[in-house]
This record gives sequence, C-alpha cells and structure tokens, in this order.
Amino acid sequence: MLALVAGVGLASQPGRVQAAEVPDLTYFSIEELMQIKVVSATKVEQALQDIASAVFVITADDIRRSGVTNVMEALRLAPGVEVARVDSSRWAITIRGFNGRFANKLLVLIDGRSIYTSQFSGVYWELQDLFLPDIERIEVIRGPGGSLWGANAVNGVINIITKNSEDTQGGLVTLTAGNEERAIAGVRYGGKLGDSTQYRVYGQFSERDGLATLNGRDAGDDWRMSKGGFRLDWAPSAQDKIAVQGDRYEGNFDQNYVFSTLVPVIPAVNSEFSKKELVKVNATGGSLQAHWEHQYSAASQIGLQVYYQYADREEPLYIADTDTFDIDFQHNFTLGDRQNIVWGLGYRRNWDQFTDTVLATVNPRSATTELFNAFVQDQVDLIPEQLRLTAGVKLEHNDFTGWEWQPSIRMLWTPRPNHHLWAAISRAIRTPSRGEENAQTSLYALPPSPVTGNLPTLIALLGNNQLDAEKLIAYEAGYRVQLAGQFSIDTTVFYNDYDQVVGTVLGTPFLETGIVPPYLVLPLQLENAQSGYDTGFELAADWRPMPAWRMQLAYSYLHSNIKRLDDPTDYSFNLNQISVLSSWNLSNDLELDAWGRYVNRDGSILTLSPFNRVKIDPYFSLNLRLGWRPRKDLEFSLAGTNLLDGGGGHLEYVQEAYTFPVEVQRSLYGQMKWSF
Amino acid sequence: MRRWLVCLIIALLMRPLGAEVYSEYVLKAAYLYNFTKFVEWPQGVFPAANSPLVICIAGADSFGDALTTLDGKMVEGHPVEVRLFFLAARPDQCHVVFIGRSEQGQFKAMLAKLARLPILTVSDISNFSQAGGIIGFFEAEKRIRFSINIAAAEQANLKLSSQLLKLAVIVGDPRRADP
Repeated sequence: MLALVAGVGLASQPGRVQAAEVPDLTYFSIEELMQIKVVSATKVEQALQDIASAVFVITADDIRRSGVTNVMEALRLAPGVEVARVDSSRWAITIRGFNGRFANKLLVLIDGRSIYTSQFSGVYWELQDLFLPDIERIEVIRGPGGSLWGANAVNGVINIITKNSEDTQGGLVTLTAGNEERAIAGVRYGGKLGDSTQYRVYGQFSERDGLATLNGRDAGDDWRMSKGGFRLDWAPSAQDKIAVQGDRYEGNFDQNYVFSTLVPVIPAVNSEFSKKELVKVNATGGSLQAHWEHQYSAASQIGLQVYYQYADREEPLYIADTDTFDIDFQHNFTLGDRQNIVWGLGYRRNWDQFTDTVLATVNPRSATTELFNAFVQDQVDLIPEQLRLTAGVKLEHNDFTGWEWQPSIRMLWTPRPNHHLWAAISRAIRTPSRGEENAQTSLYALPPSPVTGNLPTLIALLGNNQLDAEKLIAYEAGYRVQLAGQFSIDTTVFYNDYDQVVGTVLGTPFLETGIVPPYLVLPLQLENAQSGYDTGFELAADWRPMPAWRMQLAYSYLHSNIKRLDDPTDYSFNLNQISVLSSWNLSNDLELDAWGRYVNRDGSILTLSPFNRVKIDPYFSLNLRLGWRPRKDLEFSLAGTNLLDGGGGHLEYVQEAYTFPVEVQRSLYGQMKWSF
Repeated sequence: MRRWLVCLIIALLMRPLGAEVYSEYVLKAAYLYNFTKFVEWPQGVFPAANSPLVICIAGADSFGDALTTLDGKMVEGHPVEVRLFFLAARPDQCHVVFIGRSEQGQFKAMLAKLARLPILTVSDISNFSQAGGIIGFFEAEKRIRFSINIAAAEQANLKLSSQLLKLAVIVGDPRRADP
C-alpha cells in the first residue's frame, strides 16, 4: 500500500528525475505487462501541441515546486495571465487585459463546473482556496473559448482539473505554518469500494494573516476558510466512466471597506466624508456534480454532466443567495478518417435572492434566469498530419440579451514534426450580469463645495437593464517548437477588437431631499460605452539543461487601448510581465527551487473611489523553496515568498471601489506532507 | 527446481500488479525485450550463436534511463544491445527498430526504407501498424496494449509466435496482399 501511494506520487510528476532507480520490468511476461497501469507524461503535452490556440498547462509538479499555497498564486506561472493580489483574501485575475477584482471576461471551471458568480460574472477568488494535492493540472487557454465554452469565455478559460480518485489512494496529511500563512492543515483519504470503484474524501482548514497598509501597519484583513469534499470514480464497464463529486466551504474574511457618509465623519472637520471600517464577510457554499462518459467505439463517445451549486454571501456590498443548476451533453465522433466532430447541448438555471444593504439595492430582489446553448465544432485534416482546419460555432440564448452566436475558425499547420504554426479568428461575447442590469450602489461621497451649492455629493453607480452584450473579434497566431525533448518554446501574438464594452457614463446630477440632510447625487450610469483594442505578445519557454534541472520562462506583453464614449482621456497602458521558475534536484531527495517575477504596468488603475487613479510601481519578487524527502512517504519544505520585500511590502493592485490600497508582504513558511 | 520456486514466490509476492503504476517508457522497454523472445528472425541474420541482438532507437530518445534495464539481458543466447539508430552504420545492423513519436512526420518514409529487411519495427506513433509498421503501441484504460500487422511481419520475413499474436490486436488481413 505504501509503495503504491509513493509510486503514484512520483510517477505523476514528470519533472522529477528518477535516474537512481529504474524499476526493471523485463522479468514480467507480456500478459503481466498488459496489466500494468501507466501514467503518460507526454499524453497531455502531445495533445496540446496539436491545438490551434494558446494553451499553457500548469502541472501538479509546477504547483508544488513554485512554493505557492493557493491556486491564485500558481496562475502567475502562465503567460498572458495577470494575477494581482488586492488584499489578503482578494485577487484581481484576468487574461489579456481588463483586470480588476470584479474582472468579468474570464471563464473559470473546476472539473467542468463554472465557478463564476452571476452577480458580476466574475470569480470570488477568496473562495477558491483549493486543496492543492488534489489538483492534477490547470489548463490556461488564452483567447476566446466562446465557440466551445460559451458566453464569458471572452478573453480566456482557466480549467482546473482534479485527480481521479484512483490516483489519490491511501492517506495524506499536509501541514503548513508561517508568519503570513499562519496555518493550513489538510487531510485526505482514498480507498476502494469493490474492484471498479475508488473514492477519496478530504478536508482543509486555512488561516492567513492580513496584509499591510501603505504606511506599514497591519491592514487587519485576515481570512479563514474551511473546505471539505469527496470524489467517487466508478467504471461500471470498460466503456463507461462515472465520476461523482461534491464539496462544501465556509469562509470568514475580515475585509476593509470605505463607506461613504453624508455627514462629516468628524463634525468639526468638514472635509472627510468617508470612513474606513474592517468588516466581517461570511460566505458559504457547496456543489454536487456527476459526470458520465460512455465510449461507443474508438471513434465515438458521449459525455453527460450535471451539477448543482449554491453560494450564500453576506457583506456590506450585498447579501445574496445564489443557486445554479446546469446540465451539459456532448458527443464526439469521427467522420471518415479526416474529420472529428464535437457537438453538444447545455442548459443552465440560476436563482438568486438579494437583500438591500447600506451600499446596494437590487431590483427585482429575486430573479430566475435561464441559459440554453448548442454548439458544433468540426476538425478537418485537410492534409493529414500537416494541415488541420477547425471551425465551430456556439448558439446561446440568455434572458438579458436574447440570442447570441459565437463562431471561430482555426488553422494548424505542421510544416515539420514538432513545429506548429496556427492562426485563428473568433468572435466572443459577454452577457451582462444581474449586478450590471439591476443593482444601484453608493460608491463614495464628496464633501460640500461651492460648485455643489455647499451640499455633500454622493457618487452612485446605476445598473441598466437595457445593456447589450459586449463583443469581441479576436485575431491570434502562434508558433511552437519542440527541440530534442530538452527545449520547447511557444509564442503567440493577438489583437483583440472590442466593441460595446460596459462602462460608466456621467448622468445628470439631481437633488435628493427625501433624507436629512439633503445631498446631491451624481449618477454614473452603466452603458455599452467603451470600445478599443488590446494587443500583445506571449512567450513560454521550457528548458532542461540537465536531467536534474528545469527552467520555465513566461513573458507577456500587453498594450491596452480602450476608449470611452465622450471622454478624450487616454486610458491606454502597457503591461510587461516576466516569470522565471528554476526547479533543481540537488540530489535524489533534495530540491531547490527559485522563482523570480518582474511586473511593470505603466498607466494607472482607474478606480471609482476617492483615490481616483492609483499608480502601481514596477516590482520584482523572489520566491525560494527547499524541499527534502527523507522517505518516500514524507516531504518537508521551507519556502519564502516575496523575499525582496524587507520592511514594507509592494502594491500589486487596488480594488475598483469601496476599499483602499494595501501591500503584499514577505511570507516565510514550513510545510510537511505525510502519506500513509 | 528450487530457483524456479523462488521465481514463482517472487512473482506471487509482486502480484498486486494491476495497482502498481509505472512510467510509460519503463514499461515499453520491458515490452521491447519481451517481444524479441517471440520473434524468429530468418537464418543468417545472426552471424554467430552469440552475436548481439541489436535494438535501435530512432528519433528523440523518450526512454531516458529506462533502457538501462535491458543491459546485460540475453535472448536465446544473444546479448541484447541498445543503439541509437542514426549511429548504426547500416539499418540492417538492427534487429528491432523502435521509432519514437518525434518521427511522426517521417516514419512512413522510414518504413519504406526498412520494408523487406528482417527488422521488427515497433512504435508508439498512433496507427503505426495500420500504416505498415509491425507492432504499434497504444494506450487503453491507462494500460499499454499493442497491435500487430501480420502482413508487414510476413513481408519482413519474420515469424511471430502465435502466443504473441493471441495477445495483440491484429490489423491488416494476411490473406490480402497489403499495399
């Protein structure tokens, strides 16, 4: 049993060198060899080479060796992805521009289940504190995925894939403790129920310290998450695979808020009309999903997936309960020997219930929305092994904007083996969320001035139920080459042409006299008011100078030029990001890893807060990790992240509204993993 | 007799094989060695009773250290020798040629060159045996299986034992002249 667990662990880490001991299987007969299971490290990579889009895979080994303790930080390994920590528990993550804590042009899936919230069509990253040892890989697809994945896969798709229960048999205990990562404790156990059924159950608790304010004080924004779940994998026959999984989380965060007050905070000083407050945010949720795959023949298979999830959240901005039910069907078959066709149907139903808060009201408070979709994609080998055309379209009906269609056409050319050139044109859309359509929120207040007739002014954000879908036409091209197994390089260029992007337009100020004292309201109305382009270049290189040493480089350049209707201000900016991860096996049981990153964003981040525009200074960050595996079932590691942040920290981002900038600090921690 | 018993006991101890997981190429190396036991090469291919049985690897070496397990192994009195294909002076110095996935684009041309030579061609390129190779690996249910093109073996003048054929997925019809 012990050997089995260790064997799985090792084998699933393609980066690890096992030079010392190659098991000799030559003594087995062919019949016996036929019973042995293999993990093919090359399978995923092989398949990825043949995809005509920009794909990057973060493996379980990359996650382990980068020394991160959550998924969000691991995403920094991928080119084209911008990850910025907003405060202790909040992240701003996007692909190819439009970042923000409420970033909404990205689709994130866990085993095919969409985790974005219908409230703002973005992701609450603080809730995605996943149990890392369960993750098999994270596929990051840059560029529109709309023709396969549907609305909101505008700028990219992040697909987090967890391990089959078969690969997580036995027990595992992980413990992490440090100055910032105060305590993370996880337990997992996997077993068998009969010959064809395996399962696992897990639980994780984490507590993290708050970050620092700009003047070096504790921001107080601690966060706690507990999470538990299970997965069951059943193969009732050689042709059928069934996976059932579920999980539940409970989060408790201290988050900083800036509230607008319409009376001076300090009555004698008539200038400060907002106050900072540390508030409790409570979030609970869970999901249950089932996936069935049936193989009719090597040339035809179907998949059916059903899931239900709920999320309840309570914070000053809103109190909301959301339930989602989703069912998807997919059929994949080959036609002749040159065509591969995938088609599918999907239905999603979403229920929500909002409660008015001091900051926001949503009207109607409760709504049920539905989504239908159908898609088809044909992959044709025009010249076998050399030229492949993929064309697809997705049709979708949503309750906000009606019918939408998202086509894409892709071409892959393989002039020589291991050399791949591809190009694609796609159209993608993003449909408005409930928040954008129906919410009214108070952003911040300005002190009285002669211009406002000596009245305080409230800046309010007004939703708009006439919003149309945002539209994107994306042009992409890429080249990837694999040289002799030791060196590979993957480059991509893109030009994204956006239209009807939702933005704010200044409305006519009006006097609100219903409440004493009276105040002036300056409304910012949401409209399809922005258009422009984003363009950029991305590069990923992977080099193994020696069997025991691997270097991974990711470079991304983004130039964003999005203009607002009736606003001549230049909002364009350039973003340069470099990441270099070096994983070095000092000996069979010692690993030394270093990860350096440099981020330079010119231009400021525009906020809807008294801070207005916030400049982010370029920063360089360094992570180091030393891992020691004295026995196959035991691993110790010491890690430090943001080591260059000595006394203070560095600012990575600031939330669009309601809060103030805080800095990321140096973190040191130790970790133990024991499998039994 | 006693040795045989020891082997049996070891084999029994290692029984929970189905559960064990190995890297792909460690397994493929063991397959390569095992295949040679079930192939009869035409007379004269081995100059002497103890001349080496040469396994050549064409393309990027995916085996890594896995081939070290074949060092010092014997097949019917012939010591096994592993060589890189491009280092072999003439292809007919090889008895087995393993063609790596990196040769996806060229393998048909290679097969054409090796055709009619008494060489066992093996590869994990998809549909290798359908395309005229002799043994093709494929993956099913996380296990490595293989398919055999009998016509291609006959053309190479190799006799494959029925024991091996029984375990393989057979492609191509021996009664039909394969193009």
